[in-house]
Amino acid sequence: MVDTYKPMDVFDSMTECTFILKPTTQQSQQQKQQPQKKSRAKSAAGRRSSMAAGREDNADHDISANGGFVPLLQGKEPVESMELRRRLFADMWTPLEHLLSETEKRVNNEGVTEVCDFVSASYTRVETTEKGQLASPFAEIATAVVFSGVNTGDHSNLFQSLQDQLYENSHYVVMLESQYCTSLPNMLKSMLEQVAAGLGIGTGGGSKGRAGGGTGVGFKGIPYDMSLLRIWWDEATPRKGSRIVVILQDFEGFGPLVVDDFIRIAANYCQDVPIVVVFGLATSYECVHQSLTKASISMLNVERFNLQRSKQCIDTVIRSVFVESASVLSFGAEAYKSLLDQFLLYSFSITGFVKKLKFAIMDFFYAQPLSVLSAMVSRLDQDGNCATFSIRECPIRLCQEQIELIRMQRSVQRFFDKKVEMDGDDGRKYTVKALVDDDFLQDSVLPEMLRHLVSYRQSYSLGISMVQAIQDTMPEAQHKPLRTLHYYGISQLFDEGTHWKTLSAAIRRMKVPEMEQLLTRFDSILNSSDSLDLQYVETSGTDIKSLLQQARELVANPDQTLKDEGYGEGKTLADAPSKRIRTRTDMDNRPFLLFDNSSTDQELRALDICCGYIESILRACLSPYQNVPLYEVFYYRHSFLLDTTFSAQPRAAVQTALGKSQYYIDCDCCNGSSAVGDDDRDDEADERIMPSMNDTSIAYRLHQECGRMINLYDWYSAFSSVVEQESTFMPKAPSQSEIQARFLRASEEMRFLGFIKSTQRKTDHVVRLTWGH
Amino acid sequence: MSTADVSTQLSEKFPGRGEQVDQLLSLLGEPTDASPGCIFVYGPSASGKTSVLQSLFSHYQAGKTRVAFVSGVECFTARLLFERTLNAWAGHVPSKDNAYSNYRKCDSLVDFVARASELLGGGEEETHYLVVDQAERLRGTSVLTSLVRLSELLGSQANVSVILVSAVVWDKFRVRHGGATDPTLVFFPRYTKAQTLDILAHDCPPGEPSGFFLTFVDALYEVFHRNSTSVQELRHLVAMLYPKFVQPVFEGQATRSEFSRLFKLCQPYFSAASERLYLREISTSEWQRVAPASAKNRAEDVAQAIYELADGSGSGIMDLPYYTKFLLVAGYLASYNPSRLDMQYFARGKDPSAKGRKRKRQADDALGGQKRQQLLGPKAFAIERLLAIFYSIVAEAMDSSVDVQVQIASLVTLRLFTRTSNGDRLDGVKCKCNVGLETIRAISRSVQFEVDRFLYDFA
Repeated sequence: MVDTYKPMDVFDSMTECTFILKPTTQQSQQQKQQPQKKSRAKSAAGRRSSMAAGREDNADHDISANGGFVPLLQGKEPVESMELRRRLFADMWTPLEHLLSETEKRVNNEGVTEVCDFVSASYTRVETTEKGQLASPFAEIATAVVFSGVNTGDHSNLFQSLQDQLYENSHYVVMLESQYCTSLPNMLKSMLEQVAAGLGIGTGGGSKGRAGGGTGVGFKGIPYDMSLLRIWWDEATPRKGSRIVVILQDFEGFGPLVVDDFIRIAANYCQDVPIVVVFGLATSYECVHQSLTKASISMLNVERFNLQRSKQCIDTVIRSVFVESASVLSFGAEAYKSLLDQFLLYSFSITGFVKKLKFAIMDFFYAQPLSVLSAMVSRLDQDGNCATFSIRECPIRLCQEQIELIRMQRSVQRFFDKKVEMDGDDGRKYTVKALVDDDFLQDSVLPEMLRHLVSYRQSYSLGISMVQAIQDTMPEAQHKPLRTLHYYGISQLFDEGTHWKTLSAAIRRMKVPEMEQLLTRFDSILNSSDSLDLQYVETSGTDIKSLLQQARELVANPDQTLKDEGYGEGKTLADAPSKRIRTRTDMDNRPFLLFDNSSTDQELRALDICCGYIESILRACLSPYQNVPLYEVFYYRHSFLLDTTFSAQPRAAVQTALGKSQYYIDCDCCNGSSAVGDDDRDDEADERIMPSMNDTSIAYRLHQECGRMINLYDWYSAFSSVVEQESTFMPKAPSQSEIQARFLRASEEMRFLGFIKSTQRKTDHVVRLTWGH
Repeated sequence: MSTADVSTQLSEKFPGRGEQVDQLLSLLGEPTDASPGCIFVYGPSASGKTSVLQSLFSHYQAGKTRVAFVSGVECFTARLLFERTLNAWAGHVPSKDNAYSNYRKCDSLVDFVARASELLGGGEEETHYLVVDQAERLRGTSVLTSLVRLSELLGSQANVSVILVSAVVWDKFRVRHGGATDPTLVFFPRYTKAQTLDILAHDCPPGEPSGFFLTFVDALYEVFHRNSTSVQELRHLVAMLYPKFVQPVFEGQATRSEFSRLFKLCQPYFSAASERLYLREISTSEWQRVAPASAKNRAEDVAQAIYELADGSGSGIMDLPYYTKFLLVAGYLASYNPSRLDMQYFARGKDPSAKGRKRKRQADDALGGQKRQQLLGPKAFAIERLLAIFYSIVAEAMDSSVDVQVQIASLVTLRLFTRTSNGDRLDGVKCKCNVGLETIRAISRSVQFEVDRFLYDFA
């Protein structure tokens, strides 16, 4: 619904960052805040996840230069590498942003066109086949009720495209917003001004045109009177077939009485002036019935349109961005879940989705020193169309640190291990060379690893398409949307997921003609993507194309092929003679065979083998991304960062600030025993109440030790005994009255924050509103 | 045209309104006669008040501009009313040439009286009329009081009469402190059945035998007059249902004499649709898209199609994000359950059908208590309570993040929650849940939550 992301909220979530807020008028790719690590980062290094090495920086660097990009790797990153990251970010985000907005527009467009057609067709006599027609006794206003989904944040885009299309069809559009229509006069004023601007009417008689704007000037001294509308309409000799479309974008926000009166007035004019009303409804049609009276509802001739398409839109976005890899950066399972949960569980907001995506991409290019590698993989061309993958040479030489970082990645180590395992001595030589020779690593090993990645991405996309093809043969109830399929695809092994099992069961239930159809579809999927490079997927022992070919032959000619192949491979056809259900396992796995009498044994056998082939194809295609070398770089993992940035937890932040203030302040004075700086400070040290702490923090910690009722005097005594120790580091101890004043302020703040409240039940006591310690 | 001619003509056009027409004509008298200062025309809605007056004046003073028709809804300020009146009396039409200005600028009653006497004071004898439709909108304003005595205010300078038209009786208009004279009352009663049929006979589509048509209308009236006697509504229903009714005749399935057979064919349309058509859950154009009645359509199919039309097409349950659905359900529970029972229902590890509840149940009758919240409507609840219930009914553990607060805010903007505390109070916000039981049931079904187990004293 409403987007949660406000720049202010991110402050409480990041511990070791400073923030620089730049004026937003700068170039669009420059960003609002730049994470930069404080020089004291070391003491807190354990708390932040993984990328710590990447975020460090020499403190005196001018960070506002270079669009906020700073040399990573303790400042050892060469400038050209940093410049490259900066360029790459722009190269990647600009077309992607274009792609996203285009997708949204395209998805909305269909519904918008329907509404436009309705508007154009309104007030024309509909020829019906029915005889004995009577005219309705009511002068009905043509009304389109548009269900636009509960996420009001995205509506402006939708209604903007509706408005644009209505203009194109030469209608006059009046957009009314509830905040400017709190009363009937305001509403009519707003409407008449926009109509006048549209019809080009001003008191001066000159045409002002649509963009003219300042129509209010010409209206001095004239009340906003609807009867003017009729006069204008007659005078202006408008284009033929055009209507005045009044759009109430957020119907829920309007006062019911205002809309009611408006409709009653408009109904008086709709016979002379073709007024079409569009209600944008976020909830349900019931809302119209709740807010309008019977009298005015009978004046509406309603047509309903469902324009709620944010889920469709998200599916399309996920297909193009993640499955077809429009962006080189993909999301790991955790981060993807965080991205999707925000959408499905909380908001249905596409804007929010796009913001999170952008944040992740920013984080990638700003903080990941290996993000330069994405220069070697290109996918999108400048217009945002998906081009084919290609591996290019990296435009810069990687520095020593970057190379080391690559070698340090677990997946790269696994890649080398596998090489050794498979190629024996050659592999060993290769590995040694790669580990020692930097140039060799960059020039031959890196491209190979990236080809691996590209190949995986292609086969993954293929696998998802195949899964969808199988899904199409299944009943509607078992279909899963693409966003869920993708989540399964990256989070579950093929053999483990329940949905994958359902799919297997579905193909095992197929008969020959169905199987043939499915295989033909697979074939066309395989052929539709050009320049497939499946070499690296196929190293795992499955050659997708030939498997498919075999399956097709099998199904086309079960008897013949089976004879050649079944015996040839040593598969024991012999022990499967004419009996269909032999064992209990058969019974459990394929009970439908009991009822299937239409297929011959050979066919059944062939189908069985086919199913095995399809399963192994899918298993190969949907293998986990963790097998791909350098996945740590190209699969975004910082779901924690996304969560803390976009779903702020104000309550938890306040509690941490008061109870564990050193987490935020990170000062030496309050750490007590941890002055030594070791990371394994125990809880006891955490809980020691130091006089150097903030007063409210002291009061908070003290109150945690109390029961439900807090005796104010006891609390005060404890407070003062802590505060009095200030004399250890201050020139003189605070006076009694000062302590009293400070205590009052601290307890007031506690009350304000909602930790305590006053009570009448016991004198000089307050009630604690939180539990536990 | 003489008064008698007008009378006969109008009585023919408006069946059952002859008496009122005569009464009005006798009050108006000859154009130059001094007529009563204020006439109050009232009666239920759709009893022909406005139409009778409009055609009466168009006959009575054909082609002359001595009548101003204004609407109480449209003229929401005194200025609009006065300026429109002057425009009409002066025969002034705002246009491009006069820069869309009115005859005179006229902000207050004083201005109006001055301008009117200026305009009408030229020795003209004939009465000028001001007809205010939906006059109940002017109640409580000073304009109404002054309109009632407008002819007194203008005095001998002009001959003016004001006609107020309203569906509300005059007693509700009377000013509390006296001082206002009562106008002459003209009452338009509800149409009787015979009059209604007479009116509808005018609607008979060309080419249809009027006897046949009237039998249909008669039958429909019998079915429908308990729900609404409004002629307009009846006409609407006839316009919607007659084409379906007569369709089998054109298809050759039945003849016009087989009346009961036709009714049987039309039955699904009557039973499934009348209520929905009346409430406009199905609009005119949507209705016209439903296939015409014929013996070929099976009755169940037709009924099904109609139900789908009314309930389908996006008007069913709204699609909310997962946690928002739970928030809404939690809001419903907070609105309708007494807070003292929250522990019983929502404390973890305890069955809601614990003994406290059973004991209570016995005190109530089978339909629940007389004062159960279900009958009283939603109670206001504090946001903290809503959140407590929310976190206890959501299946999985979750952190309290700002997202939940944002969802509450947007539920308020969508008017699914109504805020009962003041807008300027930031803490201690109270809300009510503005959603019905059926919707809540559908929503909780979609997230596999048994809301009925948690509702106290519902029937």
